Amino acid sequence: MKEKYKEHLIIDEKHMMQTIEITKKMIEKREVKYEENKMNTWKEFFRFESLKYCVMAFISMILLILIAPHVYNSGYVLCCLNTGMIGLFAMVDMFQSDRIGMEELLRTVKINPSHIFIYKSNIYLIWNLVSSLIFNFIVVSVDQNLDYMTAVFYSLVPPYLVSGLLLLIVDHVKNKSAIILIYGATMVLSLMMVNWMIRFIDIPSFIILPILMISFAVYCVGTGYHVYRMEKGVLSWN
Amino acid sequence: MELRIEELTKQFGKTVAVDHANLSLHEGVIGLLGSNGSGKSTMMKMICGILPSNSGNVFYENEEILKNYDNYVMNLGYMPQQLGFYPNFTVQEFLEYMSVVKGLKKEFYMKKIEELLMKLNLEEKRKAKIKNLSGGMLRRVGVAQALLNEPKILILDEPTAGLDPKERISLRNMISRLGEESIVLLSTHIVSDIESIADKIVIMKKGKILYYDTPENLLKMMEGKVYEVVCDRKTAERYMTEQIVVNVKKHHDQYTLRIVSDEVIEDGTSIEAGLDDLYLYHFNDEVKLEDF
Repeated sequence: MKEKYKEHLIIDEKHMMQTIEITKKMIEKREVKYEENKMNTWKEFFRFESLKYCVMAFISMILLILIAPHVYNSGYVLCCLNTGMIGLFAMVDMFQSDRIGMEELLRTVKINPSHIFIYKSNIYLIWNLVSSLIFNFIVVSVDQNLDYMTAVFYSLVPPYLVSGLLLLIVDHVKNKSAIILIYGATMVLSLMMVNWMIRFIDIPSFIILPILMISFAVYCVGTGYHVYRMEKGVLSWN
Repeated sequence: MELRIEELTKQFGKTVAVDHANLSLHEGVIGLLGSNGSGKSTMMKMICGILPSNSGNVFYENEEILKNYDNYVMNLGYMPQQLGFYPNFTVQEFLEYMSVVKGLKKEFYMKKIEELLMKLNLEEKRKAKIKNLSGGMLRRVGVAQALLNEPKILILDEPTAGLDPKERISLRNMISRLGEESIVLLSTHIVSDIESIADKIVIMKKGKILYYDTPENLLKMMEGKVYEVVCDRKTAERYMTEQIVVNVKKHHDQYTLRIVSDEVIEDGTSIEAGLDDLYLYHFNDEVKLEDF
């Protein structure tokens, strides 16, 4: 009788093993572990987002190499191109997120869309600086023209200034659209400032360094303040 | 564990989407039932804290959720109705990305993703891009991302829409298990989705909460209101115009009708009510063909 029964008994080995595995995992009660080291979260986020920004920065660098010999003050052009790129990228990202509903989902997590936007800007800034320095190193090596270095310094002012300011305010501005508007306005203002310095006043090179240092200081203070608030858990997440 | 909603109201222009809603939710599966536009999704978004209310508050463990939102989201899993995920991510990448933005530790989330892929039968699709997934698979990915942080409050907005019967049953069983330890609030306008698993049911109509009770108690209200009538075609047509007919079965020349009515149907036999009857009793004026 048993033998007869066995004939009709079909054992799905794969399904059985899966069930055993699931049961094992259910028995093994785990505590949900949150990342206490925020830098690790940032690194992981960077891992996901860096590639496309790296590609974008690289493309802008190639573009600049092609157009630099034909334009006045290539550093300024680099600055405009890169800030334009980051702005465009951020806008596309924002509209795509809004359209497809990812935005809604991301508002129920720890790192909200305003922060993600700022992080993305900073990821681009890092790649942007790396590619700018590579480009300028190539130009300086080939052309032996140190004027380009001054242009690089100019080009660094707006991204640092804007990113620093945004990091200072991001925890207080709940609305991502407001963040992007502030971002755009600050970027335009700082670009106008650089443009004015380059074209209309014959500013001595030694002035550029303090301006760059002020911008860099704003960036550092912004980053420090943001990290401090993250560590203290006093962010207004929503 | 308690999630409490007090006088929650949301207005879009002149339309009141949610009207002074009051609820006290505890562990278990709570089905949110209502027709399209009854305010289910709006209320869920307010419970998640992503849509500000015009008045009223949501409290988790007696604390207003927005006051300590950082802590609240650690206990929250949300699957929106609109599953617009980044299309170029693979399933694995998307789940890893969501784990990172949820602030989970890598050693924890890598194990959790494996477990969820297995549970939701997505193992073979881990390398498939989001844009290439079918509606049912996308919904399973949506459920998986909501479960990554083992939430104590799980909000699922129409989780079974677009799933085939097998997937539906499998998801229902999973939700039922989750309800043993968490507050699971799931919205649907498909009655059978919650009939077998909901510990309590919230019925919403035009932004108002009509009822919040156990299925048994809700069905008690329907006692003596559901009838089965066997009749000819002419009588069947008359009933269909005059009464709420839940179901029609034709056998040769005879029609068997399931009727919900406040009046006594004299040639009918009183039968046990189901949630479908309850739904139609309250939403007969709003029912559209797409709900079935």
